Amino acid sequence: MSYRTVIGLEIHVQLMTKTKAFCPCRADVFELPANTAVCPVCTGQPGALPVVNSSMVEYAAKIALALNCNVHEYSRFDRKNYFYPDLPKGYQITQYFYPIATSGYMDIDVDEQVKRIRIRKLHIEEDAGKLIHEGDSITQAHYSLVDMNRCGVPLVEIVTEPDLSSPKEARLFVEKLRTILRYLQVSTGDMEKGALRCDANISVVDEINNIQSNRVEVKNMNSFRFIEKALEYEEQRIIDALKNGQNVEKETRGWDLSNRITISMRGKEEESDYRYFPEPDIPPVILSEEKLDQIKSTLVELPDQKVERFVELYKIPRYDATVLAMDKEIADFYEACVKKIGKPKEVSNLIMTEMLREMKQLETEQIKITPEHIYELFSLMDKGEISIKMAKDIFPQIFRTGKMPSQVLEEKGIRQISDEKLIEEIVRKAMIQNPKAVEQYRSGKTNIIGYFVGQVMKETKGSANPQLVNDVVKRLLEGSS
Amino acid sequence: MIKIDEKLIKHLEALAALELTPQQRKSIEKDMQEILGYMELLNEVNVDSIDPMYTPIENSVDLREDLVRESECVDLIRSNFPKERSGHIVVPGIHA
Repeated sequence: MSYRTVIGLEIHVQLMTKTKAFCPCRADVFELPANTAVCPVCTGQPGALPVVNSSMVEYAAKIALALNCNVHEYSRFDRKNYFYPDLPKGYQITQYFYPIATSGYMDIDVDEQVKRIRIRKLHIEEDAGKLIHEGDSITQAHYSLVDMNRCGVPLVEIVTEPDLSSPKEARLFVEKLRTILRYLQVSTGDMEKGALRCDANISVVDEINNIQSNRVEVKNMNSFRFIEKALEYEEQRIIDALKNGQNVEKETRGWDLSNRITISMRGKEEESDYRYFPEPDIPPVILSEEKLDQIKSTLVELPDQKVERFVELYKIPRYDATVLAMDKEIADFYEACVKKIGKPKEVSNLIMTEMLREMKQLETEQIKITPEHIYELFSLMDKGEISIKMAKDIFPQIFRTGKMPSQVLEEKGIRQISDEKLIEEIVRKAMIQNPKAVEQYRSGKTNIIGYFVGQVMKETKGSANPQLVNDVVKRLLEGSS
Repeated sequence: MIKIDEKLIKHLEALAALELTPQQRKSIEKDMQEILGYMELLNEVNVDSIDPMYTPIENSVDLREDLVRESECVDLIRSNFPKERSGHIVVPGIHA
């Protein structure tokens, strides 16, 4: 049996403009009390007129350029009509006939291979309000609560071609997209807060019998992990149906977090009928070549370009460069450290293992320390005051408290012992206690040196400078006192 | 002309989230036939060589600067909520 999975994504990105798409209400409404950032335009009062937010168009163009799209000089808004309590106007303003951008692509790294995912279109639209359903589920709720703060918050919708062939690729795509959005500083990309939302269309082809399953739309996957989990579940469900000579319904399903399954959300009975028509209240958006050039000139270095530069300039492995470039803040931090310290590979090791592990454990994306901290840590190692092991041991404390490495060392009372006299004393003591071992060494059994080094480490609780200990032991055993 | 029958009226009824009585359906069917019939007049105009015009403004229009201005109507808007709870509008359950 041979099955091929076909996945296409529709991704909604909340733009972090200051104001809403078509009115000057605040767009950053996540933590506001319900229905406080509203006005006649975004609540659909009769006669209110929408006016296009310039930053919204600029941000959308930036995303489109970063995704290698064709950005159109002429785009227009349309009305998508439907009734739902989160949509006070009874229609959503979107771009249906003339989207701002089409035919782009983004490359993702899948198992060390570059795979190109084509982008069909990218358009601007407005968000709907937020609904809270009273009761156990939407279908059982007797009433719902509406907050219109989110009505009219600008969104960019990105639609890919069905070029993704596994749930993992889908996750990688959304992860990389978020990285790009953050580089561009056009969206927080925060999935948990709904600033990045992903729907997927999935179908499976039975390649032997040449049968393609119906397409299922999966919604409600509000984290990277759930994208992969939900699609894996759905993929298996479709394959199971095909194996039994059946098909799945062409329907919309949602990821049910608590039961880890997808469930049917909407009956198949009603095919959506949105009766799109041009929005008569908004003139077309003209993005002149001049304006587009100006936007292009403000584009920062994007992740792919950064990876190339890191590999070229710092001679670090492509894998390292890719990991570092996933987060702009980390990449910038890395670069600042290398500029001060040099040692690009050593610095990359420390950041990739120690720092990223801390960030993951603390579930934080903030870096409280400065390149100065890393610089001091490396200086202490260079001077032989601490070993690499000690550096790694104290790193969590440095990262969590923001204290300088020297301060942490002092507080913990740990310091690499580089006092030659002290080490000599310990070695001499060990030699007196074990004359046999000294004898053995002198009669040619030189690997007994490890025993004495071990004694010193035991005595100093591992804080002696290993290189120095080695030298001292060797010197004393060889009798040159 | 598009066929106006009970099936279409029921479809529009569902789209508009309305509930009509059989009498209302009949009367709307008749109204719509008359309205759309009148609109058929437009088909007499030959527009073969003319591009559709979506808006009289096809030139570039200044966009709005991205500056927050709080509406003075927030309280007025909220005073119109038919039923309110902790700032939210209370609406009937979606599928209840």
